[in-house]
Amino acid sequence: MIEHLPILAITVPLFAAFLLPIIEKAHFRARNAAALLAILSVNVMVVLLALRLSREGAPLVYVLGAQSPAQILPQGLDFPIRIMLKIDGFSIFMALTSAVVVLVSYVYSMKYVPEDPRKNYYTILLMLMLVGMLGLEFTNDLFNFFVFLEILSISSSALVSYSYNRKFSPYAGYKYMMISAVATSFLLIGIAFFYSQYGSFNIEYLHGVIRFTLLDKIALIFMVVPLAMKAGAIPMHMWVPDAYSEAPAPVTAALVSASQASLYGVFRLSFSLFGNPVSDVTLNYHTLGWIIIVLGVLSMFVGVTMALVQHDVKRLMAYHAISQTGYMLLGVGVGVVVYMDPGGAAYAAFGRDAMMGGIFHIMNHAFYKGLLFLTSGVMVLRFGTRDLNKMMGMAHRDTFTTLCFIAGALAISGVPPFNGFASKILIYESVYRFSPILAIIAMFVSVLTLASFLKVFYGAFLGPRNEDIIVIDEPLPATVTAAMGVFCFLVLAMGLFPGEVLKYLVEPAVAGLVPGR
Amino acid sequence: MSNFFLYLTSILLIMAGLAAILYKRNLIKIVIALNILEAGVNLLFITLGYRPGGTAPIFTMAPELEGLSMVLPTPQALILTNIVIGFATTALMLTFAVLTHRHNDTMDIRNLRGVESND
Amino acid sequence: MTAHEYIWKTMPGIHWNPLVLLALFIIIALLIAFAGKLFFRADYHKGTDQVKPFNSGNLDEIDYNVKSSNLYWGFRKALDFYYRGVDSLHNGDLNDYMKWLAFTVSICLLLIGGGLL
Repeated sequence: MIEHLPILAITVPLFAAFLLPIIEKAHFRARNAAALLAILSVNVMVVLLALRLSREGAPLVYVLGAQSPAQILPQGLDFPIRIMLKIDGFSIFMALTSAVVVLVSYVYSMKYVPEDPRKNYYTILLMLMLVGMLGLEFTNDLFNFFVFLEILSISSSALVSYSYNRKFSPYAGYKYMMISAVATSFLLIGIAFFYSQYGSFNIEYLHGVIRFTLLDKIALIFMVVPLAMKAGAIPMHMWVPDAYSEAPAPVTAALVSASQASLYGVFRLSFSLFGNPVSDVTLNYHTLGWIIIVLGVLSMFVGVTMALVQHDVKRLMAYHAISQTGYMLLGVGVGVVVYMDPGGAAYAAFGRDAMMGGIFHIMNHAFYKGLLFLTSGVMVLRFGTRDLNKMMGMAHRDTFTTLCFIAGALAISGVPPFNGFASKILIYESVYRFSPILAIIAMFVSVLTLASFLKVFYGAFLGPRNEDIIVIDEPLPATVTAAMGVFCFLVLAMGLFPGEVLKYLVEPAVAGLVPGR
Repeated sequence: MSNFFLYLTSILLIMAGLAAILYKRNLIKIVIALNILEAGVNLLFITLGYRPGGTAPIFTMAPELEGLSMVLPTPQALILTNIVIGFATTALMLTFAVLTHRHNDTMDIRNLRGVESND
Repeated sequence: MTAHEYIWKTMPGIHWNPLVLLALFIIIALLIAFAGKLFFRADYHKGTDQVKPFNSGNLDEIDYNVKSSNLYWGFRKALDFYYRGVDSLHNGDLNDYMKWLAFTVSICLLLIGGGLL
């Protein structure tokens, strides 16, 4: 049983999702309990996998359809044919992030999304998103990578337009689906170029035999750029605020995690497929790193300046998602630039730290941005609008939400003792040793981030108590409060004990990404 | 030689689909353009996955691998999957287009922004 | 291991030690909770007119607020040239989004063709 955990983590939510409508015939509470149980069990499985990974030290390989899950090569052949799952530190890091975020957003939406016949579809789609993310992160096979990416994009675009009676909700879903469909078509062109040369879809095998021809580089561009678009990197980020702002709040929290899964794809393909070169003829890591850095800095700056002038609360937060993606790209980009330096002294001195900061920021961002989007859901519930000008005085009635918002806002601006500080200080310090001006830009962007959240705090939470503009005056359901509490706890705990998270999760993640150094 | 025309056709299909996606303004036409793009990608993939003179990889005993060219069924399975996924995508996007038209009475994306000005 | 060793040796010193910051936070919070009057004004009286916001001219209590979109007005005005350019990029036009994708892919392909990547 324990050796089949990698595939069980994907199949359990997949089958549970389609069992839910049958269970709902008994009672909708039974369906809620079953869905919660399935998502919880996925979390437990991922944690068990993480423990097993840290015990064994080597990446876990699971071969589907073989006599034993560890048999990679079929008899008599010297290349793998069967579908493989490979779980290293980076996969488990991302899987943990996705599983926790989906669990919390499901708990939030149990009462937040009203109970009607469509709630079945909501639950199914949310669980399919979990399946897509986990499959994307566990697979070692480009075929499955593509299939899970499509599962992820179809389910999330259907969820974006879940409240389809709103004016622009279906169009937001249309945009997201369009972008995903074109991105995956481009990805397929890249996969075709690889297959035509090496006759395999297996990432590990391709990594061993790759010859870095011109066609390989073109294929890499066709695979990485569309994934970067789905992750919301500049200059292909414009869909992010449109899609995020129209989705219901718990879906937006899960969408952040879905975007991070696409970012996982970018890193996985450019490092595990292309990186750690075995020959002299390879990618120019210096140029590649600088491209990533420039894109990261532009993402940070444009995202935060656009956020500063928004007065739609969810659009404002969505622009911050772009801005924070810039930090991840900056950290990883600095690591890439110094990766191929002779001797590896620069990489050991600060490149690895920069990379750790960038990777750590992925998890931190998923948690604090999830928390912020959940609080924005409470604002929308109370005032019936996303316009900050029409809100005031929420601190008088929802004290816990206010505290959660303060925690999230301080975490995103990198104020101790919240988790944003832990990863941002790693990025600042290591980037400062690489190039001081970049670190100064990063700090300036953090200041602007705090300023724009001050605007939300001023608009929605401060001011006199006004009962006339409140749409729904009931106390918050316990599940909503519990979901925000979990995120708040995680944000605080990861900020107070960053050393443990770095040691047990982030260092194996970086080791899984760049095993060479 | 026949492969050359297959490549040419697929590249032309991809380019036509992409050009339509970039410049067409009607929601339905964009969906059609996406289908053309996907057809081109499918054709390209099938062509690249085929080895002239290859055999199907069905053996009772593992043969000598030197000089043996096999056409693996994996790319064809992938394309079959992509066709099904493309069907799902088309259905979903057409649903979105219908709902958008119902709410806004227009199919032209110039009139459909979903964004207010920031001033 | 004593607490002293734990703080000075196992963590990155005193500069960034989350436990020290937490202790500081708790001390300040306790101080505010139990001796809050020290920080506040003595002439504050609840329930009098003193509490109400003062606004000359406009006496509407609810609408006296400075709207949150009025915040950072100067910033917006000073960077008007920048915002005019950036706003026109985020205009919600799906064609433009796809054009940016095609643009980026072609720029990267040009970089590869030029041997830079």
